[in-house]
Amino acid sequence: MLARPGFLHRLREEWAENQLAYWLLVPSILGFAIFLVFPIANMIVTAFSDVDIMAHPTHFGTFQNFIDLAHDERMPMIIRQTCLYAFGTVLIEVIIAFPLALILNTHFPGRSLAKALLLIPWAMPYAVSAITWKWIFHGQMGSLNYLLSEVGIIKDYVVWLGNPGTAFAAAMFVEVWSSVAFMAITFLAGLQGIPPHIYDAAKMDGAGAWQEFRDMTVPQMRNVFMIVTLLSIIWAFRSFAVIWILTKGDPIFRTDIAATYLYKLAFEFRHFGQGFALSVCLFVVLTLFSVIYTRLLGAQEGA
Amino acid sequence: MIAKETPGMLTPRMIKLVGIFGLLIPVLLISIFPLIVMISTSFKTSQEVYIPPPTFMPRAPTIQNYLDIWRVVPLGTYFWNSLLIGLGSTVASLVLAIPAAYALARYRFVGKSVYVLFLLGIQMFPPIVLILGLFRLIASLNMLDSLVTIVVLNAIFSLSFNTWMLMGYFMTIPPEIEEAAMMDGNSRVGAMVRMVMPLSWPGLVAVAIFSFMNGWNEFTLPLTFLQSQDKLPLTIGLFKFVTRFKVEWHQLMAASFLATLVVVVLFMLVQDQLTRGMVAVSEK
Repeated sequence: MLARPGFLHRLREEWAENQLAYWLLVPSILGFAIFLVFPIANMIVTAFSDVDIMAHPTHFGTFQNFIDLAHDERMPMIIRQTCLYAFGTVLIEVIIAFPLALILNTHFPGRSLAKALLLIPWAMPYAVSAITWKWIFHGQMGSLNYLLSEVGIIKDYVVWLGNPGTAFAAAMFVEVWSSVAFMAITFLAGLQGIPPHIYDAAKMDGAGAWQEFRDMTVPQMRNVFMIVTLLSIIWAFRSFAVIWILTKGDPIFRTDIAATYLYKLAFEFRHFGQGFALSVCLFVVLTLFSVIYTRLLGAQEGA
Repeated sequence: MIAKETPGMLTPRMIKLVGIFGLLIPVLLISIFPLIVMISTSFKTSQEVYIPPPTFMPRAPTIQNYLDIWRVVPLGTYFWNSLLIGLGSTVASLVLAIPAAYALARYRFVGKSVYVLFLLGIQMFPPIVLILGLFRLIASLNMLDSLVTIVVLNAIFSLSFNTWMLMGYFMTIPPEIEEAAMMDGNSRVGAMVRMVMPLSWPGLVAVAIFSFMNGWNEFTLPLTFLQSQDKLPLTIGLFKFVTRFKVEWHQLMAASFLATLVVVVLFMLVQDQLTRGMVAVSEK
């Protein structure tokens, strides 16, 4: 079908012209193929196989792992928590990050210091941040209880990581704390990318600050806004270290999300089959997001 | 409104500044709060940490914890392993990313757009989603409990971002520079190494530091693939410390502060470039 006259010739021409480019790409393509594409394929095949206790697939061609997963009585809870965690943290991040970006886009003394301090949570190793917050949330000796009781907000010390509600809120808080700066900085870049002459025109028309914001800033920021929000949702979906260190899903799976639960299924309960099935589900969800994301980027570029 | 008419005292600009700082200062305090707690705890004695009531600032600051932690846990080994993982990942990732980025920046070849889309797409898949597939692969390659595994996987997982960022850098360098070098008798690769590399060192440094931080901060991969105590990096070493029955928080915070110091200092050095790069990649 491809052997149209001249096709081979064109192929040879392409090769002659761009030979070096292909050679330069070989190492990275090999790397991706072995350590990324192959494990993904392997994961999908294994999810549809009988899996023994050593994680080896023994017999391909079954939906049993997915059926077992669907019958896992904890799954509805895990799904609910995963969605709440991902969408909830991102919603809070947007609410904080957008005003923050607007502030950072104005001129005030100490602006670069503020930016640098704001980025510290993002630069700190995830693991270390989570460990430190665990200490801050500590029931008897933690600084949070101490500060809140000094100020008079609480009378009795709260075991923050011991109650399902507060533990989940704490995990969400730490996620927001560590990601919000990146979102703010990205919004800021978007704001700075708005051509200033747009505002000049609005000023000439006598638009007030709010009108200017609503009619000029918001529409200009729509694409950036959607892309960054989507990216953050994806990041929150795959969040693992924060919860694993802070609560490890405790108490009684009430702070588990898909990422931590699949790890438990596989490496703690040795239900490898269900672990693979859940991995594939998470993979499919992230792929969908990823497709929307690349589409949005394409639209952005085309605009 | 009234304040606006009061001459001298409260100008609109002052009101604006009060508003800005009123919103900004609480956010900044929460941002650096863990760092403050970490530092403060690390200078406390064990009595001060464990006998109520808690204190905020150390009553009798001591550097004892910074001396003790090296004996309590093999902190030196953890540091060394984190360093090896960080440096190894950086080198491996650059070796793979530089040629790929150069090819993407300079050539228009068949399949380029597919490769670019692929790069964008795989950014979404972090270790945790693929961890079981990776586990099977690493086990069958007999590469469990090896630092090389962590280095290779880290390199692969930061490769897409690094390629993107370097591609952007290479594109800012006019191709005429290589053409001139090739006229002088250099090969294409020679021209790239001799002319393009030196010109793009700010990009190379930013990417190198990003890869190093990625390696230094990585948690999921070493948690899954490393077992031996003498191979653990800081993130896992400190995590193991926190899962003990009785946690020595004052010592743990001292070790945490040292682990943080390294990356935060590195981060501050390239903060502007790195954030610009991250922003550019996410928005393209």
